[in-house]
Amino acid sequence: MDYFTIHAGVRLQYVPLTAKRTTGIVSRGGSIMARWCLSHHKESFLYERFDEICDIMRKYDVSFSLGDGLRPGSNADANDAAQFGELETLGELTQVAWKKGCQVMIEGPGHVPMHKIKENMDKQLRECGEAPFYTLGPLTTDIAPGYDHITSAIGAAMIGWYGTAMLCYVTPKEHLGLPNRDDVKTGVITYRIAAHAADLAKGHPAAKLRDDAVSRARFEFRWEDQFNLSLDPDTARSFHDETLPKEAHKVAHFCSMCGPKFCSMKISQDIRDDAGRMAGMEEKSKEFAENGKQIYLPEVAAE
Amino acid sequence: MTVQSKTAARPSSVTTGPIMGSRKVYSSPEGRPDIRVPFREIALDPSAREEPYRAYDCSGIYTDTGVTIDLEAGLPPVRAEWIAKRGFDRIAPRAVKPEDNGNVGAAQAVPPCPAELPIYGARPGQIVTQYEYAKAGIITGEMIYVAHRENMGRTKMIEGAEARVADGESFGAAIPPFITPEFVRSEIARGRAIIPANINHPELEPVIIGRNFLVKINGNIGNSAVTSGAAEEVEKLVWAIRWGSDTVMDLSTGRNIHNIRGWILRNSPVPIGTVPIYQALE
Repeated sequence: MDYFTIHAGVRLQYVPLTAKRTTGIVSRGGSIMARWCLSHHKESFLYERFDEICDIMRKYDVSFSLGDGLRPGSNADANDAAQFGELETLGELTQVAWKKGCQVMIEGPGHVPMHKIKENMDKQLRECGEAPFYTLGPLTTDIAPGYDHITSAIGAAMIGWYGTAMLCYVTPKEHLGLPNRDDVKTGVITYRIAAHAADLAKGHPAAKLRDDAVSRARFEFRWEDQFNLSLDPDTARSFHDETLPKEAHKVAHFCSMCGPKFCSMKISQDIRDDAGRMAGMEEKSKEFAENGKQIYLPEVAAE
Repeated sequence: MTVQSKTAARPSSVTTGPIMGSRKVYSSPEGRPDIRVPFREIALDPSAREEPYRAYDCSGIYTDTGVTIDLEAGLPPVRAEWIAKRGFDRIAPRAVKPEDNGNVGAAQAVPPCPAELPIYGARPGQIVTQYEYAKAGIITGEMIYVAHRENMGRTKMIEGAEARVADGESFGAAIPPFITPEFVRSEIARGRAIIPANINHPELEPVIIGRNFLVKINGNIGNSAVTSGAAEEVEKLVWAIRWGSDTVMDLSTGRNIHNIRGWILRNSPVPIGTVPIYQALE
């Protein structure tokens, strides 16, 4: 295995802080460790013996993904004392792991409304010495089971923009069941969108090249290029072909959304052509003006 | 297209073949023909008068038409030479215990993946992690690999790169116009980036995770007590990386975990993560 999630930040003292939460502890590893701490009434063995865990990890270069066992499971619980207390402990453990020679990233939430997302990123950078942040979403609202790839991709795009290094996908089956093959693809494509939107906003020099390539293809009605340059060519093509299946339509200067007469791209190209002709005229008239003003009127009128 | 293997109890088929409209290409950093970084090349209509577009590609050789996939043999070990040169100890793994596979009965048992590799470990005091190499000022093969990968393998990206960086709002990140292996090393040494790469996963195509690199995504797979065996999990892995999952976490909580993970690891070109406490409790 290349990286391990270790929930070593779920300390005994934080467990009571979750008592009044709307959704308690929602991380599997977090709830296991909280129960262990309470039933033994002892500090977490993962926390107390973290040094030894580092030695094992180092021996094979297994990276740490320090788990956020106390991440909020609802927007109501976002950014609370339990979540942020644990994040501070993860910062402390990051320093230990680095001293031991290990690679570290930090897991993050969860369910967080949009206005509370940036605080998560800022605090993580501060507490964890800029170790990479790896977040699950976050889901920006709790009201859409069946669509949580979308509620979470909104948060993922935002936190990715603010500086999160890796986004853990959420599938449409989140909260509902084990994802199947289609759910896996939907989750991956959805998260590629979030990651790319973040790259683009951050100004990653490689990101914009693809957007520009797709846009040029779209504007020039190179349908095949538009499909092939997209994240999911199969879906793009099948949606197009649903209404315009013929090969001839792959060079058509419209699609079924607006039809041939109302295609904004086509109209815009026509405008551009007209503008080109107009610009040519202005150029000429200037020329005439410069080369002996008296004959400019008849020439222009002849156009 | 699917590839069939011999018995039903083993992973039997995975999705192969290129994504529509693209082909697998490999590119090497200057002076390092031994490092072959995969990309997905999308050819455009001649009327565009544009070079083919080169996209980041984490799908492994499953999208390469020029290879034969054998799930029982596993993937080619692209990192093997680098790892061998580091001189780690070969160690004897402990024998697999029934509880490693959740005490599964013979009838439901998934056979181990035949492609078992020798296990290596660092000696006490020996440098082993990418972090330690970076701290020591050493640029590893993995670092050169990811630098080339992040640049999409072409110098063309440099054109206008500074303007594109300036056009963004990065909230204090420090993304350079061009990624050098030395930049990768310095980011790892500062703890700002990691290359998750177990020395016992030589099939891995290295990937870097950090704020000053392309944002990565992780997809989760895994069985539960209720459903899913080795065949489904290996196919889910291949399917997830096909569409762009940079890493995959196996969150299995059901039986056969140890053996299913053997199949996953030997056939995975992406870093695999897990939550060990799930297996400890199963």
